[in-house]
Amino acid sequence: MSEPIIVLDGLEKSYGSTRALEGLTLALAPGPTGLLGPNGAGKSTLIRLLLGQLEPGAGRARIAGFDPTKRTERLALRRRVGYMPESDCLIPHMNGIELVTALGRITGLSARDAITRAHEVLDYVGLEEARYRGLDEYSTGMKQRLKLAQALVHDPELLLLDEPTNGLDPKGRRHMLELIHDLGHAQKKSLLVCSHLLPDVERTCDTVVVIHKGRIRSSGRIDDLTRGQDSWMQVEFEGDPELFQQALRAGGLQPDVDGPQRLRVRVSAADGDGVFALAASCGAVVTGLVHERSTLEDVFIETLAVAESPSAAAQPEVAQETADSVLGAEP
Amino acid sequence: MTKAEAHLEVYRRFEGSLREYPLRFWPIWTTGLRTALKQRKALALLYAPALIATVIFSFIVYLALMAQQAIQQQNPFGNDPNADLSEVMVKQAALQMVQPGLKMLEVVRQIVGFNQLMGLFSFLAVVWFGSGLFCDDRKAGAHQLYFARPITRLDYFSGKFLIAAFFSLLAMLVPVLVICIVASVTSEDWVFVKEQWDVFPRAIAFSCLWTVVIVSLVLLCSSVAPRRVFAMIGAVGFLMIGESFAAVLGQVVNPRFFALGLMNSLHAVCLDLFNQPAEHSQAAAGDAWLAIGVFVALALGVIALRLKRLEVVA
Amino acid sequence: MTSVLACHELGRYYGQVVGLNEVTTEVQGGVVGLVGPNGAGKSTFLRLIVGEIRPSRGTVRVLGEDPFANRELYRRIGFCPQQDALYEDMSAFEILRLYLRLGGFSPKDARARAEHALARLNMTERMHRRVSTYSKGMRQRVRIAQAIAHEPEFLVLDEPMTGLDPLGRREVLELFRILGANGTHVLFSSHILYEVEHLTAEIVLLHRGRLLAKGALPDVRALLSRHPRRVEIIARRARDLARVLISHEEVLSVRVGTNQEREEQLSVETRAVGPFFRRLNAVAAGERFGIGAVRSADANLEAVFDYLVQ
Repeated sequence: MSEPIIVLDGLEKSYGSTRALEGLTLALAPGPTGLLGPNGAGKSTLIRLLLGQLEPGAGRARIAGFDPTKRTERLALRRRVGYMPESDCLIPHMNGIELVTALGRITGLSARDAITRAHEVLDYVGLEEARYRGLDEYSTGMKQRLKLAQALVHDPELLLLDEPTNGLDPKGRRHMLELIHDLGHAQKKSLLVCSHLLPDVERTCDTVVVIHKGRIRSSGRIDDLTRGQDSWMQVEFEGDPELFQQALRAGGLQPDVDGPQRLRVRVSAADGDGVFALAASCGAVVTGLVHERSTLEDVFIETLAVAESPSAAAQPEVAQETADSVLGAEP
Repeated sequence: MTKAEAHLEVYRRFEGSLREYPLRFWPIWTTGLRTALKQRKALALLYAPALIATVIFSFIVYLALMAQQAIQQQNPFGNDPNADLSEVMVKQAALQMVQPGLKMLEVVRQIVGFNQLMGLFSFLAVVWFGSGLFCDDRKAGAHQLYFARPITRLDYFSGKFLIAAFFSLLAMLVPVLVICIVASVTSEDWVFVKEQWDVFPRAIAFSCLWTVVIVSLVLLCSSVAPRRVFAMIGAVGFLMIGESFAAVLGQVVNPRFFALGLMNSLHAVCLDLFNQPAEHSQAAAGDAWLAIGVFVALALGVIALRLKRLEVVA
Repeated sequence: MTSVLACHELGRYYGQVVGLNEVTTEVQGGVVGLVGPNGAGKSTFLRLIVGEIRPSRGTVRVLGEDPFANRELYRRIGFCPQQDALYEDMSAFEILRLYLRLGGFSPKDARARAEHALARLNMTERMHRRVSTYSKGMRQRVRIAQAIAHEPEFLVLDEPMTGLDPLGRREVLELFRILGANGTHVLFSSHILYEVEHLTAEIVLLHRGRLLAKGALPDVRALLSRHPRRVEIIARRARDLARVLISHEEVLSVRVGTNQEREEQLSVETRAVGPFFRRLNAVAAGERFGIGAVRSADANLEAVFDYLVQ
């Protein structure tokens, strides 16, 4: 893969007796990635590490080119990373433009740059006149957009978005997901999107990483992970199910029943036409024909089930190889 | 032929550079100050008395200086042989009456007393503007945004400290300097400046010392309390309880315990700084300095611990 | 058969602000989803249903009775509100037991029911720890547990899935499915449209305090005749297929493009889905266009929601 933006090798972090991160190895390519994991899996610790707020207990790492084991680099790292927290976090008694400008200045922008950038990012997220109003008058949707704006003000390479659609109604969610999709694809930023809403992750990210009990359990492209087995297709139809099944068998296909008006058939992608022909022969009307894919939710739950089992293996090898190549092989 | 242009991109990359600020706390200070200064009514209410007091005291100092000079110039045993004896006697009597008052007219004493009075106003101002500095941020979750920036806990603390310090010095240092300037200007031949110029650095020193102590107290309460109101009550309560405690212990057990009360100690330190006789203070100067030093150290220690938790517990 | 919920010109105003504006509807039962943008009146509606507030005008009847200050009815209804208001110093078990005792159950009964409800929400291991130590997901489970502990006939939940991770969401949706199958009526509001769609047969859609739609999703969609139906077809010979389809009157428009996987895709708009599919089948049976997939693009709740909530 192209130069990964985050490389973690064997990271460990404990709070007292609890081990939050345990030998975590990850190599993250630039671009949008989803971070999935049950509550308490170590996501917040990982985020704090990526923000340079924690010194790793053991292991090697490089984040956006910085080494978080050194204190000065931990601070400098924050200039390349933007963070959109999950919970309430807006500085009280300010209005939108003041808040973004202030945070821009604190990050190191000059006063003039800060206000210019602030207006630009507020335009981007779609906060128009609302930027001049006090934060108490903001709706949830506006607050979430403001949080995204302040994460973008210093144009970071890497954005950490924690539950970005929290509390948003369907329209707000769609707008936020469009922004995130744009950031990840058109603006070519690296994103780490933490969300419990898996369809949101599917919509905005290309790759996904699953963390559980302080280790990475699975990582890969969403397309690859959710690809169905053996080219099964789901066929929805109107008409007599019995007749249709007979017709399909006559045509050499083995249908499984999947619902009152739905069948699963093993069919190669090119032979959708064959299904239509067979349907026509028995008077059925095909109303839907899609490749069966597992959802990301299925992948997630399966990954966790494997992780819980005693034979839980080491972490994905691809990550280890990349980590070694970037950080240098272990002496 | 000029080419047409269309700029449809909404998101532009930032082409500038991010400065490595040597003074990272500076934007924290300025933005916090700007936000605090929005509270016009509070500003007016808290600083009006200080303003009025300053004006009144300026007037008093002015009068005192005038009277002092008038009396000194007056020679009761004038060289005028034609002077009426009765007149001379009246003047002598007047002089006798005024002599004890002369001591009171001593300008430095006025300034010391004024400084102490201003201390009260500055305390109120710092409690009002400073109590929310840490706890409001924690309650709003704003620390998550601050500490995602390249600042250290020390930067954060310094910025907040300076915000509170601004309000304290505005009520303490500025009025005192005004009084000193009035005194300098009205004294004939700049006598005040020539003979008692040391009042200036002493006043500055005391104002700063007072500021450090009071701001430490208020920030301590702010870092510990869950809400601003509790922090305000805590700061005022701490002082009052401290004073009563010190008074009781001082009376009953050992007079040295008077220094435990912050107000007592600050009073003693003030007199010491200005080289005034310490008849009115209950605490000994040495004890007072020690007590204040220990208090500030402890307060800063606790604040440091609380800030550490704030940074880690996002 | 009394319907679970019946409102007639139900209205609720907060001073001049409209919470709910003349809603008239009847819900027979089962698992029903309540959706709508923020500020649409969902929370107001739910609070009127459980009798927390009184209508400004009109009537609401739950299980045949007026819910306001109706002690008897409260026993038959379970409510899980959106606000987080749990006693921080008590454990989940203690809170549930308290509520059950307040509801009139004997100490033994209360204990048993509390344990059972928390077990259903997978909280057995943690139920004796203090609520202040709980994560957001656990607190949500406690709130749901207290709504089902007294085995109500009608369960009403306001955004029950907030804070839960995907496992938790699946568990709770499964719980609703089981409850629905066992005869409990469930009404829950949610912003997560795909979850509502998955689970409920019937939806109620509110917007600006008014009832915009009610019924089974396909039926509601069918009513929106103003919006033509969209069907997406992936085919190797997309343009040829497009040419053939557009020549028929069922087809309003055809757009050709490529999707994310660089496959050629047709987006067809049609007024009448039935005739269109028959036409498509006839066309596809006669000639091989290399059709790889056929999908109704806007039969889902999100599309319906968009069309209704402009």
